[in-house]
Amino acid sequence: MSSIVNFLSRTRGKNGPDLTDWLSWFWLLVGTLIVAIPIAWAAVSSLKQPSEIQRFPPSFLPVAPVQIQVEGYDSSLGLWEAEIDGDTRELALIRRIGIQAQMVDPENPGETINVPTSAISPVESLSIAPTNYTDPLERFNFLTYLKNSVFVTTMATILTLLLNSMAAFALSKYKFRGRNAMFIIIISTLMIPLSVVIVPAFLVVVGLNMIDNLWGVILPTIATPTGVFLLRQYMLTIPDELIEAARIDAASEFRIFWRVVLPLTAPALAVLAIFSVIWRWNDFLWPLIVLIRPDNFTLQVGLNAFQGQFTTQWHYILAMTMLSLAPVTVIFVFLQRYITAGIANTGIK
Amino acid sequence: MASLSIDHVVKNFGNVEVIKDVSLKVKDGEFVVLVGPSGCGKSTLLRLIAGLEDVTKGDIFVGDENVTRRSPAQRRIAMVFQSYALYPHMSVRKNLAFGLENLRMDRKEINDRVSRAADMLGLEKLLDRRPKALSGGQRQRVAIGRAIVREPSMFLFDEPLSNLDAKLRVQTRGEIIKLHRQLKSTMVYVTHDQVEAMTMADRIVVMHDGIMEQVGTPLELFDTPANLFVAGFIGSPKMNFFDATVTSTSGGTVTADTTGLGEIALPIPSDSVKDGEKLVIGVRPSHTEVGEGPFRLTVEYQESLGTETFIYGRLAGVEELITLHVQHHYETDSGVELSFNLPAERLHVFRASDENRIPTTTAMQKGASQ
Repeated sequence: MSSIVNFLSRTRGKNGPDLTDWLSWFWLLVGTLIVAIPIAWAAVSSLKQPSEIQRFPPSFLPVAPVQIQVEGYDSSLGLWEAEIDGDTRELALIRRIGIQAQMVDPENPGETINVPTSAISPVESLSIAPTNYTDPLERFNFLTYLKNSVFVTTMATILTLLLNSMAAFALSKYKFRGRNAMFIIIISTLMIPLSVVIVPAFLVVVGLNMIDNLWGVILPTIATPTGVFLLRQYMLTIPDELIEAARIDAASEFRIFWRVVLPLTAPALAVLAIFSVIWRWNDFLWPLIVLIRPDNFTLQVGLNAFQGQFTTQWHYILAMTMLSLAPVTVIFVFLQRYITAGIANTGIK
Repeated sequence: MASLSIDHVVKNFGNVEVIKDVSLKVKDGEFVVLVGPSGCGKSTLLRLIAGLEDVTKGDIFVGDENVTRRSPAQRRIAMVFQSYALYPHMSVRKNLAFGLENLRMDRKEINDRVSRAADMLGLEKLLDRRPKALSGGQRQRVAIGRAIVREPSMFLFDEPLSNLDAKLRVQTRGEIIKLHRQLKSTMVYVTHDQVEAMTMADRIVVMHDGIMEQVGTPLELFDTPANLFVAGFIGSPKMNFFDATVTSTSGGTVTADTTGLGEIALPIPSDSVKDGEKLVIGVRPSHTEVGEGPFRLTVEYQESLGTETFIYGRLAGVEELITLHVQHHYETDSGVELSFNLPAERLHVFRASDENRIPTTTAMQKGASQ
């Protein structure tokens, strides 16, 4: 803890903070707010009542007007604060007539009081709507979607790491004719966006009979030029002498890859793992195209169900979005220490 | 244990011929040092022996077996790299065991061999450390240990001491020599340091531009260098060279007019040269006799090492500096004129045309190796 305080209170100026310190603090603070506020807003809003989400002006905290039961009235009445002769009293609102509000004291329900509407304001209290979370979990197959998403993400990430690292190993540690040409071809596919190849890719998946199958979502995504590039650049920094030493130590080529090169590539693999998890977890378009039955939907496709042509159930979308953020966040927390090392060493900034 | 035989080996990198038709036989248990300036192909030759590079032409035999097309593992050799090439993510123990695990040896045998090697090299306390936590000398010993555990038929060393400081280098040099005596296995050792070569080798191979200039024991190379290159490369400080022209071959003695020295008699048979032939005469600084003699040197500067002194100066009419050597401390100053003598039996004579040595008369050659 004290190390964190030390870290945060370091200054460039020797005697207290100088201009650079103020500027960097300002910059970091603004950056943090820009990134954090939308997430915080979504998190807080995911706990709001549906009506509160669309209220204008919006409130930051999840609050709702207090409703009470008053004797003699069938439906519950809203509780308002009314200012009468300098006194503030809490009264229930029966109805408004023009600029007059007819109110009743909950303690004394027999008598109605007329107050100008300009002198009343609603009493609000913190009101959390856990049903935003529980309803979808019960009605909306959340667990099925979660299971599918976890399966797709895990399998795709494992296969991505395996396949790309093998390609990167060959491209960085073997000399063969056309090596550079092949690498350039792989890299140049970065210039082709998914939307261009979506139809041919779909036809291939149809041909392989993998439509409406999770493998149809997984397989087309596992080879990524970014991954090959990232890992190759990192592997170039592993000295060739290590591989030669392993060869002299009678290790097979696969064993060299598995026991020597792969462990040393761990930082770059961690970076690619984070990327891959984020990509696959947030992937929407491709799963939407390939998957047909709701049983096979991934979370992101499933969430789409709340967004109808005419209405959008924001409270459910927000709640489920928060849930779907959790796994990526956890992965990031565990692997983030590798990111700086990995990115710094691959020369990609 | 095995002998090594390299038979007319050629290696090209693209259009560049790096090894030009090299043949060499190394006896079982012999310690051979490949030495030469950087870029002479000595490391490439070692890598060819190891199987890390493919030969372009020629054959390599380990024992009676032709291993030219075999993988490094099948050659049963071990190699110590210049950078040590320890696996950074494995403990010392794992580093030593890795090669044995690859051979699918059983656990007990692996542990036995690892602890034996650790014992031999004093690594017992370091077995669970990572290479990062070791000093340069310790890493060096782990690298040697990794070679030993495999019990290979041959050890290859690629400039293994060049990353160590001077003191550690001398110490490790001694350890490698001791190791060779203990294991009695064939070792091929590459270095650019002639002191290492002279102190460690049973035989030295001097390489230059992809060819072998001379193969011989350290003293053979020192006393009878086969050509100008070897003469200049072996020995420190460098041998002094003088251009000369034969003036007379009559009466059984050869005399030559030598730049800066005048007319001198040469210790070579009179039938080996013709009148007027161009020669290069060499003499080692340690064989010069300062004090009396027919030759004059103007001192430029001196290096006094306490126990001995090197004097650098010029002869009249010669551009190059000449080095003289005195066995003890010697006080002199720049500009001082010194007399010195060159004993005739210590002169090396080379033909200027092909730079090869002209054998000296036998009586004189014997006296040369002291």
